[in-house]
Amino acid sequence: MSANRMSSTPQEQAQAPKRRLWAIYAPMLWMLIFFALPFLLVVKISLSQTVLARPPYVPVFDLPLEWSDFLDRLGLFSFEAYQGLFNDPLYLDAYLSSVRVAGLSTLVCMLIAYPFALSLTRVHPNWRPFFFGLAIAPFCTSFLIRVYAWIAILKDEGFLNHLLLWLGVIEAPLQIFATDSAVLIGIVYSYLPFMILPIYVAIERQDQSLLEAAADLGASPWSAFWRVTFPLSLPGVIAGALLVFIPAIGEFVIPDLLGGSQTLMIGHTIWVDFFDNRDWPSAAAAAVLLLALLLVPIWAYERLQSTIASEGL
Amino acid sequence: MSDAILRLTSISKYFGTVRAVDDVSLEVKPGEFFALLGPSGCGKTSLMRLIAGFEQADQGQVIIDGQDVSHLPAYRRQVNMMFQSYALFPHMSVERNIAFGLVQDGVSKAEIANRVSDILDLVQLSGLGHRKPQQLSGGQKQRVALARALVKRPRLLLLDEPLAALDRKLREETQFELMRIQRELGTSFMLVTHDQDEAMGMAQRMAVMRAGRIEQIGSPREIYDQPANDFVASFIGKVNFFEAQVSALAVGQTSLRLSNGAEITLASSAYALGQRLRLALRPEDVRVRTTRGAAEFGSGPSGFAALVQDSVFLGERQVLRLQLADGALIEAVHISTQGVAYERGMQVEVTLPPDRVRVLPA
Repeated sequence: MSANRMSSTPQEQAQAPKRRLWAIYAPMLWMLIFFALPFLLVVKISLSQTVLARPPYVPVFDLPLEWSDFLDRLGLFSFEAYQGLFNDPLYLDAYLSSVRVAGLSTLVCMLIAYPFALSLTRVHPNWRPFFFGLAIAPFCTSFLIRVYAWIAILKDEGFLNHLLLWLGVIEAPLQIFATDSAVLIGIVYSYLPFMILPIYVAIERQDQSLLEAAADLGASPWSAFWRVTFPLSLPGVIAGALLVFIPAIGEFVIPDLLGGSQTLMIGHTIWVDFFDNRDWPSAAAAAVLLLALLLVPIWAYERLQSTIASEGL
Repeated sequence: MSDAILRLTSISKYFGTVRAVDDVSLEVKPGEFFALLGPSGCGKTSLMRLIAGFEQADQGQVIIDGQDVSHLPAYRRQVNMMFQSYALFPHMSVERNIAFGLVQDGVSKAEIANRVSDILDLVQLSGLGHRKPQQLSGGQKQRVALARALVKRPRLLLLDEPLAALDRKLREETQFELMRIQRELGTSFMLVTHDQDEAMGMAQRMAVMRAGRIEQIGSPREIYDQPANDFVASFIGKVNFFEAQVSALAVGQTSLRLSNGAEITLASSAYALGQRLRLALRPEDVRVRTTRGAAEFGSGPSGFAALVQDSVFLGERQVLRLQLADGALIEAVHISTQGVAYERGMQVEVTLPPDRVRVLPA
């Protein structure tokens, strides 16, 4: 890579910093328009009071804004929605239950994805596109259709129960649909590729001579895996875990369709607040708090990445 | 010999239809510095991987320290290897890299600490034990790789092109360093290299390989002075070849006429009249002197005329490219301290000392 750069002309070198600036600012602009601005709107709503009106909250910072208006409206500035989050045990339960379901899904994804990714790195390169295809094929269909398909599989008189009854494994249909288990299955199924790919990359880029060195020093394949391959693949495992955990924790569609009435997840709670209760400030506050909670693992991951970049693993 | 550390008996390895290693037998003695030398693709790396156990031989036996390990996997063989890429574990500090094999063997913590610190002293890396491989220079990484392989006290250490990744100056230092460590520990070393200087400089004995086969085994001097064939002669150092035919026989003597018309007499009677031979002579053995008077292309019993085509001054020596009467080019090395400076276009007289001439199968 770096050898290719040696031939660049002085003009090219002069243009390089400009191009680099573009490369940085273009995604930042994107993030500003499609993430930061909407998020600020959500923060704004979360600091307002609920009213039975349209929109269903008191506008605090809406334009046009005179200086005197601003001071007036500062009085309307309200933390009520946030206080509500802490006073109503529903929110805490929903957060904890989301963390539990997302965490469990992440763990199950890991247990399935790791062996899959590991064997992918061991099959002949000609066969890899085929197995990748298997992992990615479901994405060719709409997400909603795939979740509905799971209803057909998991419901009491669904394919799975028919199969198990036919095999004689069970005598009465299992109640899977409309339970947390169904939500777990749905999340694991939907996010598995996001776990497989980073783990595969982390294992695939490892120097094969490291395994030979381990064997040379007396490590059996089992021991070499735990002492070399696995620790070196941890960045991939962590990346995969975040890619699964973060979207899973705010997941709305899967618990809504596959979960039951007792399934409590924060994404679903926010949806209910917005659309059923028309309590926009509470929903917005719950969303802001969710993001704040997710920043912790993201920040930890960034730290880990930069440590690896500077010192190695 | 049963006291060999390593004995290979008729080892062969096929990759598809390619014979990577073809009927190789050799022995490495205790405490010996042995080199496997050959051009790239000659099978020397495959042979070493067979010894380490990364590949299993299709035929033949690998016997290490009296034990037939032909069918044992790498992790059950009492051999350690220093990888060309060093293959240091990037997630472990220098100390933990070195301790890897000892931890694997269940050595006690206290002893591991002692042995790691001793070996760090030996390779002169004391104080760098807590660094990560990424924080080391190429030369330092190489020392860690060496220490990691040696700390298990193997009977045989395999070194795969150990100097290939180092710059010229470091390479020379490391060469002496490896020889010192090998002497101090008394471990048998097997060096694999494509660089004849490396092999000749370090090894006590060496094997020259080509196309999966061993062409010759011997000490560097034996191989240099008495190459078994054209390939060995030209791979190890430079060599001039002459075509010759036996022109006269006497008791204990054979006269040869070279293709350029010159004659030389060998102190041997092993040849038949009219037999065609191929002679090899090292450039430094070609005697050159200035021609006195009017020089002519021709030949006398003592020497023959040649024209200096090119002359390269290299400080302590001068390399000459000489054109003979029949148009053939040969190379000669002239030691600069011998007074005369040869220049392009000069006429010279060349003699071939019969005792330095090596007769090869034609």
